[in-house]
Amino acid sequence: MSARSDVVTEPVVERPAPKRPYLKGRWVDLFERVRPLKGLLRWRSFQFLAILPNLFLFYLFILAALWGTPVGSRNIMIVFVWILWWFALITLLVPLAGRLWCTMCPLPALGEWLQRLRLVTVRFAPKAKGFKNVLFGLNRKWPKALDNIWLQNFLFLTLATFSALLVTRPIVSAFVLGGMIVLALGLALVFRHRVFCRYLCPVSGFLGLYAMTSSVALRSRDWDVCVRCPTKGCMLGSENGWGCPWMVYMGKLDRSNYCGLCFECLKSCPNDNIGLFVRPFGVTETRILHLDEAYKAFIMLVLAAVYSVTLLGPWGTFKDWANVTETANWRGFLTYAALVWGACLVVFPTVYGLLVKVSQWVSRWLGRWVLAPAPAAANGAGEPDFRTLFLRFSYPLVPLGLLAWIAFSLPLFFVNGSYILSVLSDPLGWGWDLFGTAHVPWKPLIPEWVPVLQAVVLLGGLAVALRTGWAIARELWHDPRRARWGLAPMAGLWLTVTIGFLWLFTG
Amino acid sequence: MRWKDGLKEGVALGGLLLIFAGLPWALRAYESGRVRRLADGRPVFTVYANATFGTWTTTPLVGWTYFWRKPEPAHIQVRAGQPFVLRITSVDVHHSFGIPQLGIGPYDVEPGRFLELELQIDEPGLYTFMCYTVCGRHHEKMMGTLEVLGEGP
Repeated sequence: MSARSDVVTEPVVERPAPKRPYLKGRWVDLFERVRPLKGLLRWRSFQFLAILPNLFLFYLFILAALWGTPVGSRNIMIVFVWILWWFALITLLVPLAGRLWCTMCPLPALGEWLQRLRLVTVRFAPKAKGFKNVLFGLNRKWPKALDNIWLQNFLFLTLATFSALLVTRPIVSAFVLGGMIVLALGLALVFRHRVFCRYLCPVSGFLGLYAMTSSVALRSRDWDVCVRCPTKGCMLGSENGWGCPWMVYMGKLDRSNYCGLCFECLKSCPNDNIGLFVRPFGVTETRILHLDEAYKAFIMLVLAAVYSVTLLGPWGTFKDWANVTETANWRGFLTYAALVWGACLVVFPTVYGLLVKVSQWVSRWLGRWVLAPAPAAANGAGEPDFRTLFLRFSYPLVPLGLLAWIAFSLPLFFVNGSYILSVLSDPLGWGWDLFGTAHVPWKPLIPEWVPVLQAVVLLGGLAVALRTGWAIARELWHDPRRARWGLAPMAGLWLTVTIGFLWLFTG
Repeated sequence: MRWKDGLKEGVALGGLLLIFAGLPWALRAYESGRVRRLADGRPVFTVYANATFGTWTTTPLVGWTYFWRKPEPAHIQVRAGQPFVLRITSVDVHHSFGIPQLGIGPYDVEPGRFLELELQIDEPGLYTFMCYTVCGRHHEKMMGTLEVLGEGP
């Protein structure tokens, strides 16, 4: 864009054996396997062109919600967002590509474009201190006290409480999506970078959590190169790319939670040190580090059960409580809300904590009295403390929860999928027949196979949870016998949860 | 800004403006063209069935008006012998449309779908159309009127 910077020094080119401590096992660098991919992702117009079709579609959804039929099953807002998009997101995008949706999400795009005053190019200020890109707005820093995902947790729970309205009333969905666009726009003018995505977006919260399991991850190839890099272009920006909008420093990134896959670091890194890696699903090398993230895992798992009961289950009373606009039963709705919030924030975490305590006690007791203990373990030294156990053992809930969500989403798609064809031809419910499919009758797809698929998915989730749990227990206790006993209470809970879901779906 | 970057930004901005201005216009233009073709010179009346208020109405009930607008009961006026088109839809539950005095219907009215009837009534009079399916608490109020006036100039 402008003249070359006088602060950009020679790239660090020396390439010894790369140090990437987190890249254990079968990690494959996609850029080495698929050469054109790197060029595509470095292309400055890539993200804009990825967002544009989604912006078009979401704009159409909002217009359809405002002007189209209020009947959810005949309005593209409900059918495409809560059946097609949700299904594609949770079953394909998240497990395979983590936060790839964030790459093309149109909701924060308007705010980001306004903040940058650019759509595809970069504003570079070589002489600026700190950030090397110029951003429009107040450029405030996000408060330290809110540097966590608690707000996302509460916002997601709030939306979940009103989900019966959200997924059936086009206008409610339009207000929520429109509200998110306006909020992202306002925050972009006050705070620098994508604070809406990082700290507030309810979708981003669970995408970040489940991206931990995903098969695709963006990482620096060698941390040492990042440490020695004088410009820190990935963080601060350069003439080729914006500083990370997600406020992530690639030299420390070893988890996928907060990397929004915008690929700006790929453009701004002067050392060609960024790789896009493929790894096994549900990797064991990652971990939950903070209580807000652990609670996110609890909330997501409990909500998968709540939705399964409310939307798929036969319990009419519970449905009536949730669907307050139809029934006007506010007392029932408040009971429902209290049950949901209580189960997510109090009951399940308490049960989990108690089991972690049991797990700690069992392994310590066995270490002291039954198994020949290591000297350090005998007097309690070197034992993992409760907080460590609680956080580490909350990670297996991530693959378990993700696959429970996939199992929950299967009937939504297979039972209601035929609406997609009719809405494709008549997106606003105005009586159109664009592609001759407007009158395709509602017909569930392979209904007899759906419970079988759900059972397979749930058991797969349990298997991944047990595998990751075992790896964590081995890492915590070293001695396989103590690890086995320490894992047992947690594994019992994961098994119970899986049986509960199996009963809900197939019972 | 270099001219190349300026060109890129201009093209991108043009694409955005095209979407924001073009999409609403395209939706409206397609719909009005379709209704014009359907009408073929005849008057077209759109009737919405609403079980919440128990009414057939010609007040447009779409996403943003459904929750706050109290619909007026439909009163349609046509000339005797004049062909016209009735487009009937439901904004909530299943209804059935019929005009018993004229032996029209009952026809199923599915939520979010349009039933399109091409009619011509030669006998002047005031006819009542009603719902034949028990559709909710206000089912018995589900009535509208079709007034057929004597042939005019």
